[in-house]
Amino acid sequence: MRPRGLIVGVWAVAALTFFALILFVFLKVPEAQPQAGGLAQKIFYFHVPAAYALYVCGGVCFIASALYLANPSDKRDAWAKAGAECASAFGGMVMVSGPLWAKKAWGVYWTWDPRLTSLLLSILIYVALVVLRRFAGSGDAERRFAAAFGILGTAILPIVHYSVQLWGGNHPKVLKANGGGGLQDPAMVQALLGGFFAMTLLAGLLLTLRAQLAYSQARLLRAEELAPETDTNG
Amino acid sequence: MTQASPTTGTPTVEQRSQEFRPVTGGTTETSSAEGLLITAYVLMWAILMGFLFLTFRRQAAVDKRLSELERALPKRSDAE
Repeated sequence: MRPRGLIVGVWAVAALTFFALILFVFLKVPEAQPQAGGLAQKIFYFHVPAAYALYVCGGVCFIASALYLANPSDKRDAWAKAGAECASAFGGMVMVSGPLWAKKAWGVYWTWDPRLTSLLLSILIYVALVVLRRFAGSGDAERRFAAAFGILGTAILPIVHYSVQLWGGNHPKVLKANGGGGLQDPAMVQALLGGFFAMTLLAGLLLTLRAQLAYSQARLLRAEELAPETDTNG
Repeated sequence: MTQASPTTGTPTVEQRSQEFRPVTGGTTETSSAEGLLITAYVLMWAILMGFLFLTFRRQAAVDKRLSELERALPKRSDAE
């Protein structure tokens, strides 16, 4: 049994962290140079952690999918499903925030840069996986196909991560020690670390919530299959 | 066709662009950084809140169906 108080406590910590972080980013973190987008560069402190949360959720999807293929169970399937759903949500956050920053920094919302293109492909795979799970049923074949798809989606993530180093492009490589400009102010570093902490909490909470939901749905489906003649209409 | 007076500032038909010429360097980026920043934050939180709303709604639907099944079970055992 999951301790409900602990979950509520983590939600409270996550909410407070995000609130404090937003205040810190808006009030304390200095504006970056105009070439980096100026004030719009502050999108970075949530954009990058959201991308990191996408990696975390993709990793969960990958591990749970691989475990499901090795030894199927409802719990493993639920975590794989939750990983794909949360990766899609965080992918949406990254894809919404990135182009708005790019508009100021690069002058365009979108460019077919290696990082952007590979990330878009990866997110589309997770979205396709979510759509598949929603509309293709929950049979064993569908679950196995989804697990294989989940592994494929996450296998692309290392390509996304190293695409800037491999193929260059417009996307900055700020977090790379050699070659990236780095964050030139302590407050910038603190804001980014705060963003990572907050998004880690959020990713953990969302994954738990969605896995719990997927597991409940699977159990409900099995219960309905076992008792098809049960009249629930009174 | 009437022609606007040059004093009003409105270009006459002859003065309006009748062709398009390429320019080098492009125009200066004029998007408001504040607007883009606020839009990005609002959209990110909207996605998060939408995701949470859907999650809680689906969880509520599952809970409702489970309680329906639980209510139906005693009826079956009574009938038997």
